[in-house]
This record gives sequence, C-alpha cells and structure tokens, in this order.
Amino acid sequence: MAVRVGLGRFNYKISPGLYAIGNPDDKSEVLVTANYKLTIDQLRKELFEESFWVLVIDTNGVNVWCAAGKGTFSTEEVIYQVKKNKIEDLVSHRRLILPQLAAPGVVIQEIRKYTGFQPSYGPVRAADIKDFKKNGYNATEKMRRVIFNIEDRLWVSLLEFAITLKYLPIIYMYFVLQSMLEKRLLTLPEILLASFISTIPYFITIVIGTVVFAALLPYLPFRALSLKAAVLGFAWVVLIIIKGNSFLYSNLISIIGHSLLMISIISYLGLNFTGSTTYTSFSGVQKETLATVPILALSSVLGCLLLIVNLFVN
Amino acid sequence: MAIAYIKNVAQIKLDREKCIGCRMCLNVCPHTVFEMQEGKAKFKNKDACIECGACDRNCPVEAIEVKSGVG
Repeated sequence: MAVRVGLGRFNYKISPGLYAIGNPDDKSEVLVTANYKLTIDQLRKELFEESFWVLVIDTNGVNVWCAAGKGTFSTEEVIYQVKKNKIEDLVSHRRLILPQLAAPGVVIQEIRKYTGFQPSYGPVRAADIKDFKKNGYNATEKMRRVIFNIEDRLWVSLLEFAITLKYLPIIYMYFVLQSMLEKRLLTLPEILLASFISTIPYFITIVIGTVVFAALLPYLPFRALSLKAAVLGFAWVVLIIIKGNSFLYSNLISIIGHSLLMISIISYLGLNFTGSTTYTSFSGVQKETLATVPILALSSVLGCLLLIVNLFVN
Repeated sequence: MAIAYIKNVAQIKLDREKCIGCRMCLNVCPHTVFEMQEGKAKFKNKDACIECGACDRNCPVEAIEVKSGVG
C-alpha cells in the first residue's frame, strides 16, 4: 500500500538470480521475470501451491512492461542471467517462459540462438499462469489482452494524487497572503484557519483530477484525456459557482481566476494520466499534448494573473 | 469496458507480402491489434495500437514496422 502511493517506490527491488516456488525439480518450468518486489510477490501469491523455477533478471526494480519499454528487460539481460545461473544444468528440458509484456524488449529468436533454450511468451497476468499451464502452455486471447479496469485505474491514480498533493501548500500560502492583505481578520490563528478552509476546494480539485477522473474515465465524453478531464473541471467549477459564497470566493475576479486555474489543473492532471494508462499510444499523446498545452498554459497563467490582481483590489 | 484512444494516430505498418503467418504478432500484442486471414496477419483494430513495439521486435521476417516511444 505504501509503495503504491509512492513511498520508497524506487527502492523496491530484490536481488536478481534463481528462486524456487514450491519444490521444483529438473522437469519444472522456468519463469523469467523482473526484480520489482511487487511483481515477484504477485507471482508467489498466484503460484504458491505449484512448483516453478523463477529466474529473476535485473531490471533495476522496475516492472516487466516498463522495463521492456525502457530496455532493461532485454534480450542481453535474459541471456546473461540464463548463463550465469546455469539454467542448462538445472533443468533437463529447454523451455523458458517469458512474460508476454516483456515482448517490447526481447527478441526470442536471439535468446534461442545464444542459450539453446526455446523461449515462449506466457500470459499477461500471473493469475493466468495456472490456466496457461492447463491449456498446454498456450495463452488464449483473453490472457494476452491488457485491461485497465476500475481497480487498476484507482491504484495508479492514488499515486498521482499523492504526488500532486505536494503543490497544495502553494495554494495555502496564497490564501494566507490574501487574508493578511485584506486586514479583516486580525489574529494569526484566524488567518491560518480561514486559509485552510479556502484551500479545501483545491484539495477536492486534485481528488477530482486524479481519483474521480480515473474512476469515471470510460464514461466521460471525448477520446483525448485532457478533454475528458476538462469536462469534469467545468462540472466542478459550475458546482462551486452555484453553491456560491460557501467557498469564500467573493468577487468576480477571484471567481474567474479560481475557475480558470481549477479547470486547468484538472485538465492537466488528465493529460498527465496518459502516462499511467495501459491504452495510450505515443503518437496520440504527442498529438493531444501539442494541441492542449498552449490552451492550458494560457488559461492557467490568466487565472494566476487574475488572482494576483485580486490580491490588490481588495 | 474497452476505452478507445485518439483515432488514426498509431504509427504501425504491416507488410502482408512479407508475412509468413507465424502468429507471433498475435501472441505478443496486448491489445488484439491483429487477426489471421488466409494464413497471414492483418489489422483487426489498428486504433487500439499503443506502439509498444512488441510485434515489430519479435516478427521473424520484419514485416511490421512500429514507431515506438518509451515506456
């Protein structure tokens, strides 16, 4: 749980090498995987009553898919670990099961050439390995497809949420400054409390831009993620305006300023989520980014300027 | 529920002349972009391609070309 929200995320690796699940012998299958601890925990959880050899390669503690995309789950590393751990002396067969999602990084013909092993691709999810085995080591179409269900989406959005929260103190400082300039509130505790209350809508803005956005992703209109998020942003701003002065944004300048800023934040977080999904292409993200970043930059700068002006008109 | 991303942007090319019908692209694709037709691979859903490059790398006859990004 802590790792999922980003605590110690980059130091969650285990030592590469050969591991055993159950009591494998020379006829047991050899599974190859990355040295990200969550990945290996998942394998152990799914296969605890089976017997397998697990060859953990060094991907610097990064999961299979990302490591394959970035070149650490590579043909060379697989060959190196197969040789180093003397897999040819360990088992009497010559089969090697690679995770399907390693495919962007490895060429199985090359592994065959240099190790003598005949590698094949397993399913995407560790949970399907048992069925994959029952199915004669053939992955069905369903086992090969990457999904992005609500559970997956919420987990990755929690990380985005935790990362984005770091910026909240900036908003808080703005409200403290505003309260001080207004000179209506006298005591420091009053200023700090009022500013805290004023910051809450921004906290909700971040929740909407990350967790709510991730939950509603398939149900929002448009295809571009920044547009999907902007829809949520508009809805949130309209809600604030209808609810009126309960959020302490009194005059027109501040309402427009905050609205522009909040919509920009939510839309930006949506655009940012393209890096967390399992279904966005580089070309698509490039197109979307080039189209929306100028608009987002303009609206957020305008929003900030209005808020700065607002500091001095009162 | 399958979510669709922006249309007509994926940069992936398939040369059916070169294809030998080994099904490797079907095996490695995480989004079922390919299907078999008359013993050769063909696009089933090109817009679902995320340009991961798995098919490109593992095609034994270099029939597929993907402009893949990082990640």
